[in-house]
Amino acid sequence: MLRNLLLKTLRDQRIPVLAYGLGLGALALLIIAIYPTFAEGGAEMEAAMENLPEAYKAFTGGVLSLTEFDGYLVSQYLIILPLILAIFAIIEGTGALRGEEERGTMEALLSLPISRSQVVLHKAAAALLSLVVVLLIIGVVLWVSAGFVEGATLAIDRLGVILLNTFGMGALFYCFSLFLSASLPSRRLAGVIGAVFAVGAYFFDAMADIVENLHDYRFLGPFNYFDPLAILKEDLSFQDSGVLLGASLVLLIGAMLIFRRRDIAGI
Amino acid sequence: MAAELAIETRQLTKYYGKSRGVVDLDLEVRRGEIYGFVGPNGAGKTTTVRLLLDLIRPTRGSATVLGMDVVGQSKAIRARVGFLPGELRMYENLTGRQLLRFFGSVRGVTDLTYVHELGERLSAALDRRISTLSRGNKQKIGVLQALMHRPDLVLFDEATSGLDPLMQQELYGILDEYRQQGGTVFFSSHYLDEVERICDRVGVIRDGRLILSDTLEAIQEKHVRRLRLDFAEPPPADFLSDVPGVQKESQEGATVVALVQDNLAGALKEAARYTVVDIEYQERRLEDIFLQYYDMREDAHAAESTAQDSA
Repeated sequence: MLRNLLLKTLRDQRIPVLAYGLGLGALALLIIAIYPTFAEGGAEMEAAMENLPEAYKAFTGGVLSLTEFDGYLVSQYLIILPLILAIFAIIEGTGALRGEEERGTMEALLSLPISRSQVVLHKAAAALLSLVVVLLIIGVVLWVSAGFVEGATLAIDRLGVILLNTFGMGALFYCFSLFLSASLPSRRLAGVIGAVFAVGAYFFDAMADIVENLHDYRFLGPFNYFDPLAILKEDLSFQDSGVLLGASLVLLIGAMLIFRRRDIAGI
Repeated sequence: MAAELAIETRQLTKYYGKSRGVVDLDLEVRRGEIYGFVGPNGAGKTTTVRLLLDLIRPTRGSATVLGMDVVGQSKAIRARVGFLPGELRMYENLTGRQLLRFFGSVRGVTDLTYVHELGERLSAALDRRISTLSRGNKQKIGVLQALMHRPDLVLFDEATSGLDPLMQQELYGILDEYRQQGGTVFFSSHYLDEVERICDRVGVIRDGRLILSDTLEAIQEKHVRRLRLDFAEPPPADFLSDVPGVQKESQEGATVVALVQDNLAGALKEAARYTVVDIEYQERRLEDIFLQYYDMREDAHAAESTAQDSA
């Protein structure tokens, strides 16, 4: 596991990856297991939901019905998944460059015959592979557990596209954090800005749903390109994921260019 | 000449914003020598090493290592250079052996026999997590990773701090063997005793500028030594005044202290005219020369400032 920086970084991430994968998998299992209770609530629950404020509905993914499995799964689990993964992405992204410099290990690493671009690429590849592993664990748990619960139908192709869409969000948050890590003078500052961006983007998208003046600017927020309910109910589309992955690539290249040119901080 | 140089810098300058790092540094380190780079803390030693490794970029000027440009060919340079700072921060979750395996893989070193031999000589604890090691034991791992690929040049920046005296001696021996095999060592330090002990040539840096660079012998030859003479009777007041290259520093009773530049024979011939009871001739230690040089520069600097103020 120590043959190159990519494998070493994967090794370093193995415990958080397992913790995230198993933790979020367990949460998925729990949520699917209690779905029948919601389904049986039937008409009363539908009526109660009608009376909920628009803002609340917007913040839970614009779901109209909790009795349907699609709406239930989105509002109770899938809509918050990118935010939970953002924590992993921000920790890994800010730690990758500025974090290593603050720990002093970047100096030792860059005394080896490895280019700065390789450092960025290896670290990014490792973090994105870790995200894939977490999402695969979640996907397997969702698909297998849904098969055992009555009324919980989940087509594997739609699940796959949702996971790709979620991966796009995780990749965006990671690459944004990596960009901050390459640009800013402290990991803490990069982490704070990364966290504000993730939470702010979620609130911005929800507000843009209900505030008319923000409608035209909704496309600026990443959550505009994350719509698991549409993937479950409508045609499969890769366009949103493409936008998220394209933006991630731009941020990754930006991080690489900045990191290649600047001084490495000493301790 | 350039091919004989392991390190060559031309007007190498680095500013951190308005703060001075190094200024117009013209440095030449020949292949196969141990070059001592001395100066007090903050003089610019670490900045120089970091520039050579391309960890930081020059504000102006240029530098080559092993004939390659430090900015444009840094990866190729680092493949042939070993580096050890005073306190190398390594991946604390790995054991020494795992770290060396990782560094070896990145460096393309598959046979770790040599590094294990060095590890035994330094009594390095290779199977303990680095986080549990003392500073000295971490530094031993640092020495191993710096030499594991048998580099053409090693950059040691205050590298012996943290090592106990026995290990320091062992390291000096390893560096001596390494030099005999054709390796070059750039040895930055503020411990003048060790520089004097192992280095062939010495550069002195002060306030970011190289103020002196020469062989130890030449530096020692250029600098004055104190001669203390005890006589049976006090010599006359003008004693030594006519001897070129010798200056009387003080006279207390029958004891005279003189500063000898390059004419010890003249001073002794003059002293022999009187009854000499005892003679003490100061050893030329680098530390004294260094301090003397710094004092001289301080005086010159002060005089310059005063002149400017007066103007």
